[in-house]
Amino acid sequence: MTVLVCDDDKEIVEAIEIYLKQEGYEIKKAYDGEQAIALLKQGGIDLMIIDVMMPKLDGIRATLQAREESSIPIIILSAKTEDSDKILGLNVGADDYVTKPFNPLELVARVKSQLRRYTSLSSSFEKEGQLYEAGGLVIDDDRKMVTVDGEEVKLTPIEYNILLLLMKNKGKVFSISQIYENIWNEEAIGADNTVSVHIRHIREKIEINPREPRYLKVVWGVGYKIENREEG
Amino acid sequence: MKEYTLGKKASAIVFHQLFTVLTSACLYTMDYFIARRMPENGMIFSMLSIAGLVGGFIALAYLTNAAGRKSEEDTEVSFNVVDRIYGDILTAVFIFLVWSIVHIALKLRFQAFTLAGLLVAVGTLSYLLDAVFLLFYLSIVRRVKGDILFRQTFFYQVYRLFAGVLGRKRKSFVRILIYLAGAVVLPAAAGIFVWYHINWGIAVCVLLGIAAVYLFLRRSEERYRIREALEAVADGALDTKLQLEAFHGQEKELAEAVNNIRAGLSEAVTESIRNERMKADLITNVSHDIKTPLTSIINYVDLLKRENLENENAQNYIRILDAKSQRLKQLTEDLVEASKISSGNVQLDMQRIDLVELIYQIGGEFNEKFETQELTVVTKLPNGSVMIEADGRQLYRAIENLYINVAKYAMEKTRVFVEVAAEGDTAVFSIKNITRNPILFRQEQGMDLSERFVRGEASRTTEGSGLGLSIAKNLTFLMGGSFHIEVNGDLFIVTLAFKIA
Repeated sequence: MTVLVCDDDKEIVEAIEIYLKQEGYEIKKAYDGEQAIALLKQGGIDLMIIDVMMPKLDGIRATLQAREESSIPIIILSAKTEDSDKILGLNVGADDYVTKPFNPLELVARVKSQLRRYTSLSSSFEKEGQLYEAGGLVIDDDRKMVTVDGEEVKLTPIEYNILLLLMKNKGKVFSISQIYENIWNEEAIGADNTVSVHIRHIREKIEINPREPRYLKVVWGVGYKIENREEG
Repeated sequence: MKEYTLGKKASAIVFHQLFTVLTSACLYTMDYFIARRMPENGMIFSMLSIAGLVGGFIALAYLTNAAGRKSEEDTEVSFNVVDRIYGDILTAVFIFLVWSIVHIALKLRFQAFTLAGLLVAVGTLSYLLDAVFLLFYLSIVRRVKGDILFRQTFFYQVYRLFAGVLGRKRKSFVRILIYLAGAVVLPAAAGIFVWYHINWGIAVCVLLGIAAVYLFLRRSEERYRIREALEAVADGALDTKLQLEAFHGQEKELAEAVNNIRAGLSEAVTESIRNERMKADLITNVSHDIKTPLTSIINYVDLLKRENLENENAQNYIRILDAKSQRLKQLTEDLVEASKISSGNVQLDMQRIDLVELIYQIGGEFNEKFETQELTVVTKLPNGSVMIEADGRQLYRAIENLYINVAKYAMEKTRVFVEVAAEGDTAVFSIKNITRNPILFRQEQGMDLSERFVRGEASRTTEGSGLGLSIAKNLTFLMGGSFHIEVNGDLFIVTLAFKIA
């Protein structure tokens, strides 16, 4: 597997190189958008990590150009942390958006996750039994198995039931008492933190960064839901 | 402190009038009986009249003491309409009125009234006389107390006018001549005109009256509009502009001044918003520039950690570098956040949300963090939901900052009290904890913990950027809530209130 790393700050590129090489990836390096596009055109690249603010060709325009060439996963790495920056990045075709300063382990986890999804989706594996899917999150209810980007996740029975409830009703927001009544089959009188603690545990298991969940979203003051989003 | 309320004064006046009426009625009755040679019948009335005199005197003494003051300690003398009339003119009017009433009263003796009719007439007259007397007497008392007995006279004013004219420039002297002409010559001319052409005079007076009423009404209407505009400006409606053509004379100048104030204020507000925005932009840009080298520091410190360093000192140094670079990261993030929020640069998605649900959700997020510090959270929440209008994500960020604060500064092994209550049409959230270190700030010094960079302790080495409470407060304000901090010894209380939706 080859990862293209593009940032105008050489030390950052080198640090990422060290981390990814430790995980067994091949690395190609670029220091501006034009170099990155040129390397991409040569082929043989499975994933691109690209900075936004760069000379010559910035990361946003580079991503747009890259999307004309290929469908490989692109992770934007930027010091810009505004919601609007993230939305822009994802809208021009990036698959993920990581803000600087980043946690190296989190970046590696995201690279792995993107690559797993990319490869497992392209090799259309057999679907059998009752499957519930949301992006890279899959529940196989026959085998009581949860996978994120192809990797199995161990959940306790209560966590599993909560996640299954939310997955069966993608996009619907469940309040704490609704979840309680569905899972424990009794009326929620004087609810407590039980449900929200379970939810956090699920997030810690299925999300790379539980504070910025991709799948299990918190709708503050309303409840919880599984994001009902189309593949992309 | 003894208060002289309006009620007490009014009753003293009523008593005084009753006593006066009693006295004079008794005197007349005595006179009636003496004239009919029945002096023994008059005895009881002489007693009554003396009682009336004494009572009237007591009431008068109280009124004299209370005149112009609101309480015993009140040193400021307050005046009323009567006091504005020049003293000499008032005296002339008083003498005239008293003379008229006494004139009528004297006639009464020679009229052949029955006793009842006489008493009614005497009562009415003495009541009138007393009213006039009290008005005059109390006004004089107030003047003496306020030391304006002589200044507030027509003669004094005329004297001052001439003294002023002689001492001042010619221009105003000319103006005063014109005023005198207006005040003396024109009324005199009008009077002569009226004297010789009585019908014409009435017509002119009516016309003048109508004109005066019209001018008066127009003026008060324009004043009213100016006052309305001023109130609007005071309430922050900086787009209220008065149309100058609709105003006249002095009111036009006033309206212009109001417009200028509004323009100046609006400019200042725009300027300050722009400054705050520029500051936020600057901070954001600087933070971008800081983040790039910081990324490398964090990454290479992490890489260094993975090298198998034998040296114990080196390991210790790396641990410090790691902690400090993480803190620097947190600081830059908080700084950007705080400046964005205080410049109002936040997109709000206002929805009806349940405050109780939110507190349960946040409780779940912090439950283990608190457990590791052996903090027990005591929650007191209503059974149902408490709906408010807010942006759930931003409210979470605000309250999250309060919980983080508790995690940072609360004393271990203590209890933290979280409460949500619906009080009338207000939803109130409060969080209370015991602080680990004494809070070294004084509210009376005007310091405010929710100001940026103000922290409860002098040292800056502990974790925390000093921005958490500022972020929480500004977010709460942006969503239309109120934010209150109370420090009572080591007890630290933050209260948020929102209108129930």
